[in-house]
Amino acid sequence: MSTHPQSPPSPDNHDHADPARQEQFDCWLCPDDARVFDALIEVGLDASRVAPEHSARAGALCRLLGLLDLSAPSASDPDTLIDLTLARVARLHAAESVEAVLVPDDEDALEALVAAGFDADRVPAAIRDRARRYDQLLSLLTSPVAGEDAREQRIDRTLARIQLAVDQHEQRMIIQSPRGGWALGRVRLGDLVSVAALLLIASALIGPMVLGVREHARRLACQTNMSGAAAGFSLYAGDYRDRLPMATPSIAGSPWWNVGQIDQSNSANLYVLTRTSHATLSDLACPGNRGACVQPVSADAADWTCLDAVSYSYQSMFASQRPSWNSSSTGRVVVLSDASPVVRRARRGQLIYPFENSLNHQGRGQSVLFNDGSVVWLKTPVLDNNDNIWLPRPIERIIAAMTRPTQADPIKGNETPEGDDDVMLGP
Amino acid sequence: MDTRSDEELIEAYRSGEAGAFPTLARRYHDDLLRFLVRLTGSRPTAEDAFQETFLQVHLSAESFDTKRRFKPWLFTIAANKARDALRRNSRRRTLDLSAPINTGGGGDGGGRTFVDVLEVDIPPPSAGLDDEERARLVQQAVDELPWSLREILLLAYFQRLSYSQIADALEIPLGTVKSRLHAAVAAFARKWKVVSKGQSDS
Repeated sequence: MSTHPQSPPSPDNHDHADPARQEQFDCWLCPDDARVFDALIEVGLDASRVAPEHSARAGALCRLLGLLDLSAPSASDPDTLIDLTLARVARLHAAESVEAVLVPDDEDALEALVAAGFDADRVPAAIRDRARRYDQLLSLLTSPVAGEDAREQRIDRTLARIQLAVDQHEQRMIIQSPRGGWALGRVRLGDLVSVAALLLIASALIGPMVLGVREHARRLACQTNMSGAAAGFSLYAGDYRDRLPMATPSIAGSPWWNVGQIDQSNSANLYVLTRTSHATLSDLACPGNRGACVQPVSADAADWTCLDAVSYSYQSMFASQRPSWNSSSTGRVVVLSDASPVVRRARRGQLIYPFENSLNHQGRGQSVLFNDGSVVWLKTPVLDNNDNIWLPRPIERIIAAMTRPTQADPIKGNETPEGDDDVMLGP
Repeated sequence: MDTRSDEELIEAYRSGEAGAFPTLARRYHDDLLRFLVRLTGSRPTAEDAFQETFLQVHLSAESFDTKRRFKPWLFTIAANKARDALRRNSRRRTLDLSAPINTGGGGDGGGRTFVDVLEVDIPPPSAGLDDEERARLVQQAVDELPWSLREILLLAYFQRLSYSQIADALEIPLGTVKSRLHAAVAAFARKWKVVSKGQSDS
């Protein structure tokens, strides 16, 4: 190994001003190597293009760098990685869109309202209701306590009484900063109460609207989750010949709602999607489910830990009756939905309501994912073909029979009791 | 096969042609993945960084200056994503990057040393060790380089860029590129000497 008495090569004068120049490396190329390497870099590391007298060093440098070569990284199908990447970009794109836009009807209504000079009555009838809601929302910005209706009067009276009581009992209670130097000078507690009351009124008006907006946002986030899950199902199906994820097939008669016990839990089948990294637990956590779990409880977790942690109900995986992901082979069916209220009530031993909506969205409806990747918001658990998504067909038939209107004239007035122990009173 | 340049494709993607994006991803799949595998030393981490890189390309497509070249931009993003991925992967062993290594013969025990590549035993591609073993040792030598050296060495090697192009891509002065790259090649030569010697001794 050769040594060199001077400092390492510093080719440019401006280099000295560069703080990165202070980097301390503990070894350097010998000057001859450095010169040949510079030449090599400028000819794209092609040793045959450097001067012949440098060919030995250039060859050695290229052999050294050639060690870095890797054989083509084609151990797995390159399309898989690219598809995964594209799916992530598509999801990101979808999420960006959700945040950025109003639903088209709202957009139209807002535009029409602005065009009509904020006069909702001049907006076309079809979107007038939406426009009115915008008008109300916007009016909060300018006159939060405008109006003379009974509600405001009641509030005013209440405020006046508070003010009176405060004036009487706290007359001399003065709030000052320790240095006595607030810009507003002295502020009486009564003034503060007025401000607080004003805030209360505003929040009373905005509150319900904010709740509605929150629920709307939850629903959108839930549908984005489902789109993410759809991408996961699609990739999984690509890897496993159109199959839906499954840990263990259910056997007729064995339980499938014991969440946490893999061989007795249908949610463990859905959990497979996260174990194979085709989706994350967050994708399968509805924002409307307070108990939702977004992080695996352990590295080898194979199911959620309890029913409340499961946000989405998944098509039961029976060995012989499983739909596939591709709707062209089995028809279009629902494979995932917001959590079934029926299963949750039945599991707790409560009375079930067959037509109840999922509790994830305050009973207003449920997002469902079809096996063609489409996500739909349903306001009832009964599909167009009368299939109740919470129930198997035999139970649906029983319910249908129970709720069918009674036939006309079930008693004709000429029947006889079946025996002397058959009570039949009349008329 | 799309014959448009990378820069034309990213421009098309910005104008709403969604198909331009997969074309770019396919075009760079092999090169970029090879670079990332070398940089991170792990195929899963490299694949993770590959995805993150193209997500970033999607997010930053609007801000890309099409007068500049796409490839250095892409590789620079990839290097940053690889570093992030390695940081996240805290289980990965951290090597004694700064610990002095006895190069055997000629070590002066202090100060800087100068490496002469003609003195480093570099086998021709088809000789000596079997491929798998050599790949492992090369990765070991690369892994033991400090991040800044590893990054610039692999950027230079896999992209075949000139000094000024590297300086442009990394946004560091030309002189720093040169000195850092010289140090990187020297450090790699020395690490290789150590790991391959250790192998032949054992």
